[in-house]
Formats: sequence, structure tokens, C-alpha cells
Amino acid sequence: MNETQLIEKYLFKRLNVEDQLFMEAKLLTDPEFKCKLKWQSRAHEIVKAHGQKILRQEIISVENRLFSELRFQNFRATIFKIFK
Amino acid sequence: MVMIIEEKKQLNTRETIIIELYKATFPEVASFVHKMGGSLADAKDIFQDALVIYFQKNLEHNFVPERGHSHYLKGISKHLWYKKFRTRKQNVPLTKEISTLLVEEDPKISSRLLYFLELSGKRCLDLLSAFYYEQLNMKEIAQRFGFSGERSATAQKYKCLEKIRNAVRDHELNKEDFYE
Repeated sequence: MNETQLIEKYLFKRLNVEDQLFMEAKLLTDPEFKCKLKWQSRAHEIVKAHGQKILRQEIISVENRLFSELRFQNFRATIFKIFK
Repeated sequence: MVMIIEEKKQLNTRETIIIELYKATFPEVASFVHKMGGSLADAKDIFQDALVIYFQKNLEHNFVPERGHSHYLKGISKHLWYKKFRTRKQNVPLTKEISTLLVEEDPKISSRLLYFLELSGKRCLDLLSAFYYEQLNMKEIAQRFGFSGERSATAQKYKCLEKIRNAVRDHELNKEDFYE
């Protein structure tokens, strides 16, 4: 297991007891590794933000189809009836 | 019937699930918004936000609501409506399960950093979000991104993670602001 994998498992709480102890010791003694942990955690936040952006685009795309394609005309009729 | 995301993930695309959730739940959300004096555009905005929260909670916690997905999606939508239009001084009690579906606001990622990374490393971000956010397995990742197999996809995933991590580091060391 390389450092990236070790950090990933630590962040997602998937380390076994032995690796957890190793990780904690390494964080206390290796400042560079501690920085890697911080940056990798930030990388996950960025991936999450990107994933949310993709999901929202997909939702908007599906919604546009629901309000334009012939096969969803019953759905549209139901909605337009509410707002008539 | 609303599909259960966890059970159907292997059989349905996310797009299919979104369509089913719209068909099963949006009419009731739209009725509620209309009743509260909102427009169709308001109903669409609220439902989009509710779906984002709902998918995220499912992915992070494998949440399976006891009273059905549609019920909880409606609950989130109502809560978002009251939150958005708080000035109308209306409130709705949240059940415990619905309140657990509502996620805390994400830390604000610098839009400049995200934009930069989407330009320079979009494929990596797409791959990583497919794994961590969509929770596709390595076989599915390999198929979607054209890798020869799971080992190749796994290796690429870690290369991408290191690439994004290093980009974050470079920005931090260059004293770029990460937070808006």
C-alpha cells in the first residue's frame, strides 16, 4: 500500500488497527506526510464539488427532456394542470 | 413505484432513476409549491436542490428511508421551500429521518481552483467523481473511461488522485486562496 492508498483508507476510515497505528505514528513524525493528508483531503472536497456539479447538470438535462419530449406529455399535462 | 437507488444502481443509469423520481414525486412537490404561492420555476428549482441533497445522502450513507424514497424527497423539498421563503414566517416540523437527509453546506471550494482543475484535469475529475461520488465500481469505471481492465482503472484512479492533490498543493504553496 503506497502513501496515497494509505491516506485514502484513513480518510474513509477503512484502515485495520495495525495500519491505523502506523498512520498515526507517521502523522506525528512526518510533517510532509501530514501535508499530503491535508492536500488529499482537499482533493476529495474538490472531487465532491465536481461530482455535485455534474449531478446538477444531469438533473437539469433530464428535467428539460421531461418538459419537451413527446413521450412525457402525460407528465407535462399533470404539471401544467397544477399551474394553469 | 420509486426505484431504490442502492438496489437498482447496477441495472439503471442515474438518468433513469432521476426520471422515475420526477414522475413519482414532482407532481406532489409542484402542487405544494403552487399551494404556497410559488411558480413552476420555483418548483423546479426546489426539486433540483432536493435531488442533489437526496443523491448525496444516499451515496454517502446508503440511506434507505423506512417510508420510501418519494416521501423523503417530498420532505426535503418542503423543507427547502420553507428555508428559501423564510420571510413568509412559516415553518414545518422535520421528522428525524428527514432532518438526517439534510446535509451541511459544503466547505466553499474556490470556484477559481475548481475551474482551473476542470480545464487542466477534467478527465481525472470525471474519473474520480465517478468512483467517489457516483460510486461506480472499477469494472464500470474501466468501461466508461475505456481502460483495458480493473487494474488499469485502479492505477489511473490513484494517478488522478495524486494529480489533483499536487494541484491543490501547488495552489496552496503559491498562496492561492482556496476559499471564496
